[in-house]
Amino acid sequence: MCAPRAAVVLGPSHFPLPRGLAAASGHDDGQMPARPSRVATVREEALRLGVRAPADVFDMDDARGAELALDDGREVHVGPGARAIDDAGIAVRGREERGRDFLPHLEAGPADVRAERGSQRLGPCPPGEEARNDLGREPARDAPPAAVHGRDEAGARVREEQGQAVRRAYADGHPASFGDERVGLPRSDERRVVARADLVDDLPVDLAHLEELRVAEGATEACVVLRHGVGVVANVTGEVEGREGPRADAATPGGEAVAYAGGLEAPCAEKHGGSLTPGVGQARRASRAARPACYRVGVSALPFPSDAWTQAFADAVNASEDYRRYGKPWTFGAVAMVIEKDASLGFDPEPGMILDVHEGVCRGARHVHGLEAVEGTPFVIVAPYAMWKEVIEGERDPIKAMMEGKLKMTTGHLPTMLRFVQSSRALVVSATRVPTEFPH
Amino acid sequence: MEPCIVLAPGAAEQPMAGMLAQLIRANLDERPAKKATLARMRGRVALVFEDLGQAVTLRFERGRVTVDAGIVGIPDVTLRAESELVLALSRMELEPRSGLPDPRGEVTRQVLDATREGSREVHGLLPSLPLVARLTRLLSVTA
Repeated sequence: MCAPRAAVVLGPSHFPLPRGLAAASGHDDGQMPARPSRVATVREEALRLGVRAPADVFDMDDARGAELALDDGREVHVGPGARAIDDAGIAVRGREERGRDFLPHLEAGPADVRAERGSQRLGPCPPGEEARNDLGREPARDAPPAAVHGRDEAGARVREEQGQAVRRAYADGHPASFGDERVGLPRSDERRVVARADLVDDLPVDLAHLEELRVAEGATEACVVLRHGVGVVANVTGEVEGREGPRADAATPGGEAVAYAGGLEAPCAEKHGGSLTPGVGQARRASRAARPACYRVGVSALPFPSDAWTQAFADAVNASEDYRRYGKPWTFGAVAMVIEKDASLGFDPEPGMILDVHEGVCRGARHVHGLEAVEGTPFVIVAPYAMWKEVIEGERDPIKAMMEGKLKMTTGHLPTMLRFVQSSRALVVSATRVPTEFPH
Repeated sequence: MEPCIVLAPGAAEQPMAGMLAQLIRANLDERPAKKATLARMRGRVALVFEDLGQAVTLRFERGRVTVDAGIVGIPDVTLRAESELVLALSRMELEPRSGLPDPRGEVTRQVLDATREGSREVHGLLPSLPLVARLTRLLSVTA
């Protein structure tokens, strides 16, 4: 049986309860006996926290939003017409003067669809323009926005009272971006206020809405984004640099390398046809600066058949994990792939290539001409040019093509080839990774 | 009796028929023990390659095998599957003693799974189980 915890632990003698709640928990109407109530306990617990918890005070001159002690002399009392006090206890400069310090470093964030969840966009905003204008604007001179819509009625009311159009770059429910850190949720205590509100305006502000601060890390200047203020983002441009070597994609031969910028490992593997195709060229926001940007370097199609293509094919075979796995037991010699003679395409004599594959590795590759050149090769596969093109483009399975008789093994041991079906497929599929330019 | 492999008239034009004849020939040449297996085989096996739209009939007559294009006569066993699954018969792992497919093998498991899922159908398997087992042994490139 439960004891009346509410009366013993958190009774009205300890913490004054609101009148309505005290009457409800005391049952002083004389008709019902006092019974324990779990709901009342929870309510009283919340009240205790509300009474005892100190108000959070943030030193907004500290870029990290360090918390001040309650008796710190730097606490800022902001009321109507009040001014913030700097570290030395001197009244800070005027709003415009202080705002100008940040102007070279601040830039309005571009319109973000996510920001429009809580309120509708107030109109097109050229990047980099509106935030500066808002910071240096005299509210009395500017006309209020023609219409403010959206669910955030309190915020709209504040803006209308201040008589300035405030574009809201961040809104409720905006997911925390990379590099952002929530530094505190100041309570709407009437005695305390969050400093640096003067970044936006030091005129009377509805303090109940100054709830959230975000500090964008990685920016050269500490940036503060007030929830109901102007979206201020540091003007940091992500640097994109090509980097080859260990991070280059080994599975993309032919000089095709993927370079990454940023600290993450996620590759950007979409294939571009150009020689240099930038992917994400620059970070638009400080919060996106840490995200990887990538581009492909040196993607150039190689003519088929040619020496360069053959070497790229060998590189692709060596980069193939499947071939390394399935071809490990292969010790039966080189494999030649020959294109049938076609004078209209200039394939006279028959061009071909010999791959010296052994135990899952291609030890060498040669581009040859004529069937005489492939004599003595243990395995020779011959097919017309159109068939090779389909196989290299990945449109036709090489094993099925062999069963259909479209790829003919003129020399070789069929049981061995059947035994290494997976290996043979991996070998030919490697060719699909070579950027190829086919003759017309 | 020396084994005899005959490619029926018209079968040479069908790649799968030629490939099967070549495969049997190569296996018999490399593994003489398979000759005894072939000598005990009797019956007709039809292999239908659904993806290629081709069929091949193998007629076994005591050491002689005839490869026909299409289905010839009434087969004792009919195997319908995609070409790669049919040819997987040659890659199935066999138990050394019994010569039967080893269910622990990777390819054998794939074939069994395909049979269970219905992508590989075998008609007349139970009455001709010895014939199918010997055919598997004859075509195998692993044992």
